[in-house]
Amino acid sequence: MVRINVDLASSVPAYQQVIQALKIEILSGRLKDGDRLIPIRELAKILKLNPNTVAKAYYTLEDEGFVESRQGSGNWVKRRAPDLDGLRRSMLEGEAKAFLEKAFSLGATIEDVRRTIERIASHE
Amino acid sequence: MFKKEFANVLKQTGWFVAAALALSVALLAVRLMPRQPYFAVFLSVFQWGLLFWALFLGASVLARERSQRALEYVLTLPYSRLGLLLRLTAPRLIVLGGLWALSLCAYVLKGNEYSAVDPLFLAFLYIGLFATSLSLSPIIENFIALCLGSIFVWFLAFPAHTYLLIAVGWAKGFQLLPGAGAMGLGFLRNISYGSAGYIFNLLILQIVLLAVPFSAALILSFRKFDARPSAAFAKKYFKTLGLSILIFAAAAFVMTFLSVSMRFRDVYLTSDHKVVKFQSGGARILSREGIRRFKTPYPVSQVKSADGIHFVFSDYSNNLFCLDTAIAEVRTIYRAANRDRGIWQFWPYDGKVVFLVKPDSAIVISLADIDKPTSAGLNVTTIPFPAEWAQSERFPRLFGTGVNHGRHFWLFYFEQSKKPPLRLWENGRVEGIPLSDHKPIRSALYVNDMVIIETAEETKIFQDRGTSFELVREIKDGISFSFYDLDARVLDQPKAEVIYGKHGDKIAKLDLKALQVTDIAPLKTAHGAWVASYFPGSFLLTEIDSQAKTLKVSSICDDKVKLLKVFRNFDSSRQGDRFDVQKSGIIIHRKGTVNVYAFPDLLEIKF
Amino acid sequence: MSDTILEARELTVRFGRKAAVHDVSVAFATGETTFIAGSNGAGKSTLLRCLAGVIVPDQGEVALGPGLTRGKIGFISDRLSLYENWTLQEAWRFHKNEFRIETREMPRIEGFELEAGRKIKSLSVGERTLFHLSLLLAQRPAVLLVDEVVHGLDPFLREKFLETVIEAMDELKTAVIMVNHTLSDTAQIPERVLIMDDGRFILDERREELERKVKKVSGEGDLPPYIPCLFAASSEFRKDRYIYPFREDWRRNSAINFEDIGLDEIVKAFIGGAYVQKRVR
Repeated sequence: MVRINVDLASSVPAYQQVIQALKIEILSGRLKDGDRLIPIRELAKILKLNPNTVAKAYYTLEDEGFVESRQGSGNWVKRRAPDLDGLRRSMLEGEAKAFLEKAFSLGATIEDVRRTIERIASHE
Repeated sequence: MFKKEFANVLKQTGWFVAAALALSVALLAVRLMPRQPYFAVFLSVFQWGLLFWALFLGASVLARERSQRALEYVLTLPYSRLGLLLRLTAPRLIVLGGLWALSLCAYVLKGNEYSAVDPLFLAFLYIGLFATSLSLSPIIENFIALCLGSIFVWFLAFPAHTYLLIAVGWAKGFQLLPGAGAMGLGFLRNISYGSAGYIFNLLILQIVLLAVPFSAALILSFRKFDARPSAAFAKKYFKTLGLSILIFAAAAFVMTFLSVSMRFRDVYLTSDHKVVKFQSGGARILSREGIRRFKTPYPVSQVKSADGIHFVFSDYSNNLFCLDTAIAEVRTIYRAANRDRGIWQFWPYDGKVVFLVKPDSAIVISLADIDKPTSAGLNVTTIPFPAEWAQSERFPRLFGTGVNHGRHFWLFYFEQSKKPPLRLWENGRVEGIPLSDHKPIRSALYVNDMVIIETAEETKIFQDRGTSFELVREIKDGISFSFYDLDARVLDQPKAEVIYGKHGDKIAKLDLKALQVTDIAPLKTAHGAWVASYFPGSFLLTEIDSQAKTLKVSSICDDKVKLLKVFRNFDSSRQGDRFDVQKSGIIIHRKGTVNVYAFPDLLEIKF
Repeated sequence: MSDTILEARELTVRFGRKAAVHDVSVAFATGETTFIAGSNGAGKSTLLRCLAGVIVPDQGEVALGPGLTRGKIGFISDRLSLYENWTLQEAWRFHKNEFRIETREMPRIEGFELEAGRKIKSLSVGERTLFHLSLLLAQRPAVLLVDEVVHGLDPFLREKFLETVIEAMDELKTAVIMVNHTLSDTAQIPERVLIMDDGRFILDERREELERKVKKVSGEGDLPPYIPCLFAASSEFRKDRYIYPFREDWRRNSAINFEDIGLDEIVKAFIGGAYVQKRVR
């Protein structure tokens, strides 16, 4: 099942969050090429979003090449998303930036951060 | 929505019918109604109960929506407000109409037997009540308050109609208020109902004054009806209602004004061949010298000829006057002290007038001189009428009078009553005439010191023994000597030798000495033939031929019938066609025109 | 793209002397989702009832857009007006006949079953609400007017209700106009937000615009005078100031931390601000 949670209190608009979440699903491989995306109506119902909002997210994903919509049958994950790796890299950078901002605001140094990451990664 | 509403109304009406059936049973069981067939009781209960049901149907138009909290829902239905009103009202009208139609059928089939109420009369009341309660239902939310309010408003229509009649009377130039008393309104109602008919008056009362303005107010203001508390809508409603009432009250006024006719009622021929016309507003004497007009301050009520020259008349303010056509003057004979104590009946004879006044349901006989003016209390002899006859609901008719040993007496019989006729002496003593059958009296005659009384089955002759009456002859076999109440009849101890009358389908004579009946001539038809008489003296045979539309007048004299004249174009079935045999001639009303013919040859008098 | 489907023109509605709605004009577009919020007695319900045709305005009119008929407008309020003594089956048959609905079977909401033989008055508020909604949706309405029904529902029915409405928004492109007191989990649904106070609109914005234009500043410190403060809520432990209308270049110029806030907090700020204004007046 698709894991999407929209944080209402977040400053990020809901449709952006949906786009991000779906991108993560696709990049992580949980949503494979050729998989059918959950219909707009169903996603809207689950997340309590305006269907137009979900539609907008799907259109954006289509514009960015992640998804193609087929007349009458919904939205499908595209066979080959362009520059998946490059995209993965830029998303990773984005997540890392956010993480580092938070870490530094806690008063950690870059050394603290590196040590913490290695410790956690070795436990995984 | 219409179907659902219709089904609902039918269901409720079923309860009404069931209740009527049950109530009828109960009434019969508890003996509250006299013994009648069940259906008669039910019909009565149904007809009157329908009055309440009409009220309920109108008041309940939004009741279900209010009690089931569906009002807001109903207002979201895809209809305009008027469409909604129509769908709620139409089923109720249809059911009310259907129930009325049923009562009409029952009336037509069995009404006479069961003394049912005229359904046409009730129809107006149903419509009036229904329209009132329907109209008030959007603004009064509480059902009981709505019903009571509607009944109250409905009742207001009655005094409203009375004030309307007063206004019309005032507009016609009569002083009716103040001081006219109940008789003034009685006049108005008489004139109004008499000239326009009771249907027209009901139309004004229930439809023009009530149903139409209230319905108009509802229809015009309902567009603004909504789910807000009724006070918001009420303002708009009352504005429209006020305007409606004003407009339709004015319309009612105009309609009533136009419908009330004050045309002449009575036409008389005097002994010197003048024509006298009486109207509600006064009298006119038409002669070769010209026209003399007399206006009365109060409307004329009854007119009687005294001797062909003097005409005695009463007005609605209970005064008695005499019009003297010889000198063209009106004199007051009697002025009522209290306007509410009316002059009930009066009979002029021999220079006097006997009149009955009815104070406090007693009857007082008064005697006044025609020639001498009188006022209340002066020169008027009064004798109280015997109490048990005063309570009688029937009209007393004076048929003879005289003097015996210096004392006056009067002979009365009572119309359509089972009470026997009586002789009343001026000292108050009463003698009954021993008519034991208790059959209604058709007519009575006093002649040759004998009283001749005609009932449905026989004619009885009593001899006056001075202090009592003794039956001397009974004549059976459907003898009919009808002496119908001519103004010109001589009341004062007349003498005669014979009387002519109808005997089955023949003319017969009653010999007053031998008291024998002899047939003298055949009649073409008994129906439509009368023997009219200026008694004693001339006897006339009048015959109406309804097919040929003629009126034949013949004289009966010396046992012979001689044709005097045939009047054509006389249609007794046409309203207003009638003829009047008077002392000096015959007055014929045909199709709205009046012709006067003088005795002895019945030549026409032009006027 | 946005054709007007329903419009209110200079509506005034009075209850007695007081005007509950005062000279209000607003137009709604096809498929648009609008929330109307405001303080108690602001006139929201009255406005909605005018749009539904339940109240006839004293002045002004409600105009239906091209192709819209009264039968294509659905209205549900917390009064839940229906014939109480009827069974669900009767109510459905009646509704179906009046609105010329083609479907023969009683409409069902997925996961929510009611016995057709039950009487409406025997239903709980939540059951009644959903039943009423199912009737309205069977009309395939082009406009759905919802007046404060959501907060009366338990969480399960609440979710069912919202999901059903969302489905209608997608399937029928219904324009939804909802009067809501609190937004909470419904905050992402409206495209447009109207806030009423004292019978008038004090705000009419698209939701995204609103989220951009209203920011919160927490904590001590004075604000420069050029920053418009809509409403300030302060106590011993906090001091929140709501800024409207916000401009992005202020973020760069000052050291003040402007927080993005969600829609329900925005609405609260407006309503609070209106109360303050009233007191000042």
